[in-house]
Amino acid sequence: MSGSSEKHNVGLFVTCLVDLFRPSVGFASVKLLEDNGCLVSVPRAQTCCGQPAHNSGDKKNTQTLAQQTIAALEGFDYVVAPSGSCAGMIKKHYPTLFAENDPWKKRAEDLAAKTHELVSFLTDVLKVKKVEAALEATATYHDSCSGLRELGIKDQPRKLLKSVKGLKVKEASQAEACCGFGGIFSIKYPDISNAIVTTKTDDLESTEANIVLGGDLGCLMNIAGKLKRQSSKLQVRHVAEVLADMTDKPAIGEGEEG
Amino acid sequence: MHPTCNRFETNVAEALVDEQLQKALARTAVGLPSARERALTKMPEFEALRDDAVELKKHVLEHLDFYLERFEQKVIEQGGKVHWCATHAEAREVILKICQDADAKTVTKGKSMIGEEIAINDYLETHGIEPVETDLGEYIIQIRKEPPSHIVGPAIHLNKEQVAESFRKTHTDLPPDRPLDDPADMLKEARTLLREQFLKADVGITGANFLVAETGSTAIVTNEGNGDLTQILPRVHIAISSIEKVVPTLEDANTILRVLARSITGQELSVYTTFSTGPKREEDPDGPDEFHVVLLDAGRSELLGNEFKDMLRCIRCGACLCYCPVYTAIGGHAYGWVYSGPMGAVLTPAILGQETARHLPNASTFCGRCEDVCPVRIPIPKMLRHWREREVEQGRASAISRIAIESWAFFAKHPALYHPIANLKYWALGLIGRKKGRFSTAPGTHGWTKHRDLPAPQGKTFQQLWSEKGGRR
Amino acid sequence: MSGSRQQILSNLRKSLGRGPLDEAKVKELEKNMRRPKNRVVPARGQIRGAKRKELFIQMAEACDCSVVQVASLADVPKAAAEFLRDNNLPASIRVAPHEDLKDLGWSENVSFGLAGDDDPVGLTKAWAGFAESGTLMALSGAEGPTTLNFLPDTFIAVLEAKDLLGTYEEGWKKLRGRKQSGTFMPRTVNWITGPSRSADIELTLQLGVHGPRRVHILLVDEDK
Repeated sequence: MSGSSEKHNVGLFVTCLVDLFRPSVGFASVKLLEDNGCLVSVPRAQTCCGQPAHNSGDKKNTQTLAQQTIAALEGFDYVVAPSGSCAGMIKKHYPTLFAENDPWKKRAEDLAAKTHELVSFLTDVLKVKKVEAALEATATYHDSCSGLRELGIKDQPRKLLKSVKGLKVKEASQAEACCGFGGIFSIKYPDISNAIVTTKTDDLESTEANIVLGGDLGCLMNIAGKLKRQSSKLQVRHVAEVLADMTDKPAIGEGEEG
Repeated sequence: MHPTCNRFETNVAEALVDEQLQKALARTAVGLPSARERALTKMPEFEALRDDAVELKKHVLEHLDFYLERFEQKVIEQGGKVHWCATHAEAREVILKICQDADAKTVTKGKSMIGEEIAINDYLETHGIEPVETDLGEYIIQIRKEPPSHIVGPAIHLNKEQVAESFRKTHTDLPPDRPLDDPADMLKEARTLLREQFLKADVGITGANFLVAETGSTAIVTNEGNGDLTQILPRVHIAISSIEKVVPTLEDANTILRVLARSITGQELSVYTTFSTGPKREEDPDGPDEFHVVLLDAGRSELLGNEFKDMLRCIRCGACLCYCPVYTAIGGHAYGWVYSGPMGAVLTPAILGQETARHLPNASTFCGRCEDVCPVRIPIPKMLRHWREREVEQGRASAISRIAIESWAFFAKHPALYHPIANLKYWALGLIGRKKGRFSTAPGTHGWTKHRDLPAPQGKTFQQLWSEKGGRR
Repeated sequence: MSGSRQQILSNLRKSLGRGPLDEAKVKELEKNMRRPKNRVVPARGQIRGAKRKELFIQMAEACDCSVVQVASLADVPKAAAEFLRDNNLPASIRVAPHEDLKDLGWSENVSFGLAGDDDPVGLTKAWAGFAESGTLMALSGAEGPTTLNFLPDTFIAVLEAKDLLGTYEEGWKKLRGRKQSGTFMPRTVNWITGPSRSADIELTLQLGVHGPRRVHILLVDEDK
C-alpha cells in the first residue's frame, strides 16, 4: 500500500483485447491500482493504441489513432495499461510519429513520460512490494517481447508473484522466446506462427507448472489457443488476475465447462 | 544463385515438414546462443565495444567516399589494383577478365557472401573455368548444388549422412565402400581433396570482412584456414567486397574483431585473422604475384541515403539468424536467396527489389531479439517496418493486411460507433462461447483456427460493464 | 569501369547530401589516419609480467593449443623433438629460415625453407603473441614463409616472452615501429588463435580442416 495520503489520478488504458475479450483483466487492474492509492478513471474515447496499424506500416491510421489516444488520456498523473505492447507503443513509438515542429510531438512525449505498463507501474512507481493474494498453484511466466525488450519488464512480475500465498514459480528454459503471435503475423503466416508457438508451449509444458502467466493478452490468447488445441491441462491467465486475487472467472480459452 | 524469394510460402511449407532441417535448426537455436552468452560473461566491456563499433561504423558511413578513395590509393601504392563495380554483372565481368588474363583453369574460393550474391561460380563455369569452394560448409553445398542456409554455417541444415552421401556421389575416384560414418572421416577426405585444389589453383578469390584504408589491406577471418591457402598459394589473389566494409585504421579493425566472432560462436577471434596488403614483396618466398580488390556497390550507395542506412553497419556475424524465431523455424533456404534471417529480410528487398522479396519483411513478429544481439545495434524491426510502410504507400500491401487494418482502424477511429457495436458483437460471441470458452472454428478466422483454438470473449466489453457499474468496480 | 568509380563516388555523395569533402575536413581525417588512436581496449589484456604470461597460456590452452615453457632458444630443438615423440608424431620438421632459429643445433631430421605439400611438421618463430586471446602474430617474409603456418599438419610456434604482448593495440604499435621499404605492413599478417577447426558438419567441432590440426607453442622465458 502506498504510504502517501494523496491519491494518484490514473487513467486506465484498457487496451482493445482486454476490453473486447477479457474485461476481468481490466477489473483486476483497477483493483490493483485502487488498492495502492490510485483514483482510476477510464476515458470512454479510447479504443486502440494503433500498434497493429503501426506494425503493418500504415502511417496514416497510426497517427490518427495516436492522436485520438493522446487526446483521450491527457490530464492524468499517470496512464496505466495492462499490456507491455500497448504501453510500449505509447511510450516508445508515439513520440516518433510526429515531426519536430508538430505540436502533437510534445503532447506525445508528455503522454509517453507518464504512461506505464501495469505491473512495472506498481513496483517501480508506486513501490509496491507485495500483494494480498493467494493461489495454490505452480506458475510459469511468459515474457512478452515488447514488455521485455522495449520496457525492460522482467523482474517486476516475478517479484510480486513471490508474495502470492501458496504460489510457486518455475522458470521455463526459454521464457524470453517469442510466442509467435506478432499481431497480424499470426494470421498472415499461420504455419510459421504455429511452429513458433509449438516450441513455446513445449517449453512451458516441460516446466510441469499448472498455470502460465504473462502481461500481454495477445500472447496469452495465442498460447492458450495452442494449448487448448493440444488438449493441454495447462491454464493461462493474465498476471493481473492472480495479483489481484481475482481468479474466479474461467482461465483464457476455458468456459463454464473448464 | 537464382532467387526463389517469391516462392516464399512454398519454401516455408517444405521447410516446416523437413524433419532433418528442423533437427538442425533446433541445434542452431540453442547451441550458438549458449556459446555466445557464455563468452559474454568473460568480456565485461562488451556493451562498450558495441557502442564503439556503432560509432565507428557511423563515422565511416558519413565519410565513405573519402575512406574508399584512400583505401584505393594505398592498394595501388602497394602494387595492387582496385576495380569499382556498380552492378553484379560488372563485377562478374571484371573477375572473369582477371581470371582469363591469368590463363586460369582452376580458381579456389574462400567463403564470400558477395561471391554468392553475384553468382560468380556459375559465371566462371559457363566460361570454362572451374571454381572450387574451399570452406568445408561451402564445399558441401557446392557439390550438392544447394544455396547456403546460414551466412556463417552454410551446411548447417544437413546431417552427416547427407554429407557422406554427397561425398560418395562426387568423389568417385575413391573406393565406394570406404567408411564415412564419422565426421572425422569426411573431414580427412575433404582436407586431402581440397589440399590438391589449393596447390593447383591459378587464382584465389576471397571475400573481405573489412578493408583498412590506412594500409590498403583486406582482412578475412576464417576458422579453417581455407581463406589463407586460397590467397597465398595461387599466382593471383582477388578480394571481393561490398563498399561499406572499409574502416580507417588497424586500431578500428580491432573493435570490429572484438565483437565479430564473439557474437556468433563465442570465440575471442576466429582461428585465422589475416590482413593482406598487396602482392608479394621481394622478400616474400610465397604469396600471389597479383593482388586485386573488386569493390561492389549494387545498391549500397543508395541505401546510404534512405531509411535503411543503418543496415550498412552489418558485419555479417550471423547472430541475428540464430536468435530469430522465424529463421529457427524455417531455415535459411526458405528466404530464397543468399542472405537470410533478419538481416536477409532487410537486405534482400534492397538488392533484389521489394516486389520479389515482399514476403521477407512481412514474415516477422518484431520480437526484437535480432536488435538485442546485433553487435552494431541495427534497429532491424524498425527497418522491416519501413519496408511495410513502403508497401502501404505504394498500395502493394497484401489483401489480408489491408482489409484487417482498414476495417479495424475504421471502427477504432470512431469510438462512438466502436463501443456499442463491439459490445453487441462480443456479448453475442461470449454467449455462444460460454460453455467451452473457445472456438475451434469460426467464419473468417481460418488463419488463426487452422492450428489454434480461438478463446471466446467473456461477454460484455469492459467499457460496457464499467459504464453499467457507474464508473466503478 | 573508371566510369563506375565516378558513378559510385557521386552516388555516395548524393546520398550523403553533399559534394566531395572540403579541404579542411580532408586534412582532419588524414591527420587522424596518420595518428591512429586506440578505441575501447578491454582491461583483460592490459597486464604485464607473470600475469600476462599466465593469461596467455590460459587463453591459448582454452582454444586447444598446447604450451610448454623453455628457458632459452637453445632448448627449442630438444623441446620440439620431445613434443613430437610424446605425441607419436613424425620427427622431421620444416623450420622457418629465421636467424634466431637457424643455428640452434638441430638434428638431421630438420630442413629449412618454405613448406612443401607433405611436410608433417612446421616450426616458425612468432613475431608476437597476445595474452588477451592466446593469439600468435606472424608476419610474412623471408624469415617467416606464410605457407609454413598453414600447410603442415602440426604447427610449432616459438614465442619469446619479450615478444608476448597484452592487447592487439600493442601489436599494431609495435608493427608501426618498423619501417621497411616505405611501409610497415608486410604482405601478410596472420593472427592465429588455435588449430584449424570447423563445425560445418552437424555443428560437431573438428580440428585440422585445412590448416594445422595441432598448434604447439614453445614459450621461451629465461625467468621460467
